[in-house]
Amino acid sequence: MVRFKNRYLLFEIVYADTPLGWTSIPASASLALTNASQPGDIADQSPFGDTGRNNCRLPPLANKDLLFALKDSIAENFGDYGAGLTQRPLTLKYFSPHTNVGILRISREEMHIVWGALTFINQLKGRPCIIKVIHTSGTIKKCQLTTIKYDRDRIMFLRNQAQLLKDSQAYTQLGLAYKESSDEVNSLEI
Amino acid sequence: MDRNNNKRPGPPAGSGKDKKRVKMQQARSIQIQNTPSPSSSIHSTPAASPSGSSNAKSTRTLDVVSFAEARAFEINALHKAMESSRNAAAQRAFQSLPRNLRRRAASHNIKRLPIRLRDRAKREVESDPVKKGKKPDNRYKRRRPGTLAEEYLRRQGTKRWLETHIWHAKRMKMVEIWGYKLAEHSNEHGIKSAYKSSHHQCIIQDSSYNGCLEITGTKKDISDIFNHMLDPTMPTIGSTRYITGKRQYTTFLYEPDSFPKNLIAPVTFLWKQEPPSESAMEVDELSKQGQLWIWIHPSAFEATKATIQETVLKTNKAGLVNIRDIENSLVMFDFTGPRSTALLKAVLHLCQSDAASSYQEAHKTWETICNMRSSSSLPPGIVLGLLVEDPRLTFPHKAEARPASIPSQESRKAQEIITQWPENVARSSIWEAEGREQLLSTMTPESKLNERRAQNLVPGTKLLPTVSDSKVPLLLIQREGKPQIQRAPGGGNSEFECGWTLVLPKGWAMPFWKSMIFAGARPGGLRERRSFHFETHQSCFPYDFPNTAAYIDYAGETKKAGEQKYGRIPVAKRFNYEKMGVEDPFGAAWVKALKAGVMMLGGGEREDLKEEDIWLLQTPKMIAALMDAGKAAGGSSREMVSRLTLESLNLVMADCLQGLVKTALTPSLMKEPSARIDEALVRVGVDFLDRGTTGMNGMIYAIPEDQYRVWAARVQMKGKRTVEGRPRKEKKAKSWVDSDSDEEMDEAEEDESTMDELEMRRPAGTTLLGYVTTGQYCYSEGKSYGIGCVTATGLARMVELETKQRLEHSLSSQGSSNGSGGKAGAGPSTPLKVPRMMVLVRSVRSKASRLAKLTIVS
Repeated sequence: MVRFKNRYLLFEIVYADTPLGWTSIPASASLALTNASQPGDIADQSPFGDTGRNNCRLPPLANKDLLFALKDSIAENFGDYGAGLTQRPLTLKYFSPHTNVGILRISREEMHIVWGALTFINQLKGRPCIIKVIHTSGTIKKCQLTTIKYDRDRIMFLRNQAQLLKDSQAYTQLGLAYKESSDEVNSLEI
Repeated sequence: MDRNNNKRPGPPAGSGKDKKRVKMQQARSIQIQNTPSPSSSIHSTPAASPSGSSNAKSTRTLDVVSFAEARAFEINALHKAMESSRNAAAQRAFQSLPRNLRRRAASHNIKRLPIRLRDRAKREVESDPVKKGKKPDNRYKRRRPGTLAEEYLRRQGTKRWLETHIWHAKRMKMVEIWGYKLAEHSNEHGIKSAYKSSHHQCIIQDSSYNGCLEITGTKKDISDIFNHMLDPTMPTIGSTRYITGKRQYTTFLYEPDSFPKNLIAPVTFLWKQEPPSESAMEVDELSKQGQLWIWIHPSAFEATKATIQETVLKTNKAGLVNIRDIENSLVMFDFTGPRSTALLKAVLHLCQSDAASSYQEAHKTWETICNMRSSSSLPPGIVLGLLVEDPRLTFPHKAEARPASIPSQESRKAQEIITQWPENVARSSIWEAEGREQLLSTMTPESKLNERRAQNLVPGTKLLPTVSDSKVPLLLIQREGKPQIQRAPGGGNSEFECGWTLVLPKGWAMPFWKSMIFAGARPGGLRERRSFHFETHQSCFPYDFPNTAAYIDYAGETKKAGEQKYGRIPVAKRFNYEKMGVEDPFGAAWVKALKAGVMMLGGGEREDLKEEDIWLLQTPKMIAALMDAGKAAGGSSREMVSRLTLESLNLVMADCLQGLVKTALTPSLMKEPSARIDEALVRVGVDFLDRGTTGMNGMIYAIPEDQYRVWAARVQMKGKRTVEGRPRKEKKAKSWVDSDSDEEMDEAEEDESTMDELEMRRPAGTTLLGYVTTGQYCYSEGKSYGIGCVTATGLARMVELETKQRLEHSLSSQGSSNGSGGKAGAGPSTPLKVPRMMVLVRSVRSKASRLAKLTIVS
C-alpha cells in the first residue's frame, strides 16, 4: 500500500551557555556573589541558588520561532530546491522550551536535508546554540520512548552527581523525581 | 493526517468525520509544561548585563529542582500522549466488523461475533475493568408487599394516588393535575366510544379525588355559616328538603357575603341521617347536632377550606362547629349510563344477616327500585344507605340482561316508592370514622379467601358470606343532571344526565371497582367527565366557569401549552392567526369582550376593568330579568326612546337581586351594587343554525344592526336546514325582506353569493360578545356545539336589537297586509320565524363566521 513514509527526529537544543554534559554544579561561594550582584532578584531557598523560575527575562522559545529558524536554515543551505522539497511534511510534533527537547516530523526522503539544516543552526533568537539530533525513527512512539529514556538518564546523572557531592537534599529530590517518573512508566505499562 | 497538516483543529461542529478528526488530534497532542517558562533551566545569571559577563563562566548554575521537574513533567506528558493516542485508535473486536455484520449486544455476548474475532473479544472482555454497581434485586424480592408499598410511595412523590391508581395506570393516560395523578382517558377507547358507552352501557369514573370536609355542630350553626357563602337565591342547606339527610344538595359556593361575585366552586352537601328518636319528637330539626359532608372539586379544595374557616371565625362560631378534613377516608365512584342500575344490582349483594337490621327499609327500597332502567325517574339527589357483602366473595358478577318489561306489580311498588320516598333509608355506619377504620383493619385478606375457595368442592362456586366477613356500609346517591328548574319540559334527555354516585369507606375501592369492570362497566377519565357534561349541555367545573381561581389556573396552563405547541411549528407550516385576525387563539380574553360590551351600550371606554372583577351571572331569574330589560328597551316604540344603559341595567339587576334574596342575611349585598353588570358573564350554549363548527376558544359576535335582516332572511331561506326543520319545499312563505317579485330562485342564488361574502367578512371587534370555553363535535346533537360565555351587557344589547327588528318587521308586514286585504293583518301577519338570540360564531381556525343561536346553559 502506498503511504506517506515519515521520519521522526528527536533533537535537543544545546545553548552555548549550557555546560556540555551538564557537569557544572556551582560552588556555594559563587551563589552569594550572584545574589549580591542582583539585589532585585529574590532567590529561593534552593542550595543550587538562583532558580530558573525567578530569572525568566528571556521570552520562551516558541514553536514558531524554531520552525522559522529551521526553514531559514534550509533555504540558506539548500536553496529554494531544498525548501520546496521539505515544505509539505515538515511538522514540529513536540517542543518543550523547558527541556529544550523536541520532535520533528519530515518525510523520509528529505530527512537528511532537514538534519543538515538543523545542524547548521547556530543561534536561536540571538542566543548561540547548537541543535543535536538524538534519535531518528519511523514512528513517533519510538521517539517518545527515547525521550523518556533520555530524560531519565539525565535525572539519574544528576542524582549520581549529587551523591558524589554529598548533597543529600538534592539527592532525595532527584530520587523522588526519578521515582515519580518510573511510577508513571510502570502504571502505563509500555 | 497528512492532508490536514496545516489546518487548525476547528470547532467540533460539522460531520462525524470532522468530529473524529478533532478527537484524534486531541488524543495525539503532547502536553507542554506551561508554568512561567525559563528560557532554559541552565543559564548564565546576568547574561545580558555587561557587569556580569566577566564571571559568566563561573556563575553558571543549574537549578536541579526545576530541571528535574521539567524532565519528570515531560516524561509524564509523553507517556500520556502515547497512551491516549493508543486508546483513541483502539478498536474493540466488535467494532472492527462492518456495520451489516454487527449484532446487538455483541459487546456483551461474544458469541454473537464471528469465530475469528472471538478470541480477541474474549481477551478484551477479560481485561475490562470490573463493573461496579449493585446487582438488581430479583423479582421475588421486588414484589414483596413491603418493598412494593415502599416503591409505590416513592413513585407517588408529591402527587397523590387514588386507590385504583395501579389499575388505571395500566390502562389509561395519566395526568398530573390538582395535586393528584388522575386518569385522563382510556388508552384504547376514543371519545366516540366513550360517548356510546355512556349512552348505551355504563361509564364509571373514580371520583375519589373530590375532597371531602366533615363539619359537626348544631345544624343551625352550620346552616348559618353556609348561608353567608352559598347562593342566596337557592334553598339553604338548612331547608327541610335537605336537613334530614334524605338528599344531597349541589349548589354554588361563594366567598363570604360576596354573592354574586367571587364564585369559588360548585359544592355538594350531604347531612348525616340520624335514627328517628321517639322521645324528642317535638325538637326542631335545626337545633339538633348534625354532621355534614361537603364534597369539593380538588382544584378548589384548599380555597374552599380556607373560606369556610374564615367564615366560621367571622360569624363567631369557632367553638361551636368542628371542621375536619376527611379527604382520604372515602371512595367515590360515579356511574353514568342506562346500565348503571343493573350493574349496581349485580355487584351489591345486600347483607341479610342481623347486622343489617337497621338497614331493612333501605334494602327493601333498593330491591324495589333496582329493576328500574335508570335513576332519572327517582327524586333528585336521594340517598340510600346500604350494607353489602364483600364483593370479592361473589366475584365475578354478571349483570342481568335488560328486561323487556317489568311485572306490573313491581312497577306499581316502584311507583309508590318514587311518589312517597321513605324517610329513613339514608342511614349508614359509613359516617363513623372508627367504623371505617375498623372495617379496613378487619378486611379479609385475599389469601384467606383463596384458601376458602380452594376448599370448595366444585371449583368456581361463589363463597358464602360468614360472620367474620366484612360487611361494607355504603351510600348510593342519585346524581341529578341539570338542576330540575333548568330541564326542558318533559324531561328532555335526562336519562343520560342522571346517574348514581357510590360512596364507599376507604380501602374498598379495588374490590368494588374490579367487580364493576368485570360486570361490564367502562372506565372513564377526566376527558369522559368533561365530554359527558358537554354532550348533555351542562357546564363542567372548572373548564366552563370563567374567573374562578381553578379556571384561571386551567386557562393559563392551556394557553401556555397551546402557545408552546404553536411555537414549535415552523412559521410557514402553521396557521397564521395574525393574518386571519384572530387575536386570542389560545385562551379567551374576557376583558376584551367586556370592554366591547360596555361600548355596545354606549358606555364609553372602560379602562379600569380588571380581570379579577369578572363574575359569572348564573341565577336563572337574574338572567331572565336581564333579557326582559333588553326586550323592554327594544320593544318600546321609536318615539319614546328608552335605550339600554349601564345604569338602567345595574338598577334592574339590583332590583331583581333584592326580590330574590328574601333573607336579611346578606345586607352588605344590597347596600351598594358591587357586582356591576358590565363585569358579568353569562354562560351560554352555542347551537349552529346552519353549517359551522367551533373548537375551543371560538369567538362569539353579535350580529350588527344593519346586517340582521340579511341573516334572518338566510335562516328563513334555508328551509330544510333551519331549526324548525321545515322542508325546503315549504319555504314558499316569502322572505320578509320586501320581495314581492316571483323570481325566488334567482334571488336565492344571488343571496347565496352575497351571503358567502357576508360570512367571510371579518366581524368587528366591537361586536365581540364572548368566547366558547368548550366546543367540539357533539354526538348527541350530531353536529358541532359549544358551551361558552358571553358578556351580560352584550347579551342585553343583542336582545334589545333583536326585539326592535322583530317589532319593525311585524309593523311593516302588518302595514303591507292591511293595505292589500283589509282584515288579514290580524291573523297570519307573517311573524318573524327566526330563532331568538342569533349570533355569529367564528372558530379560531376559520375565516367564516357562522350563524348560531344562544341558549342559556346551567
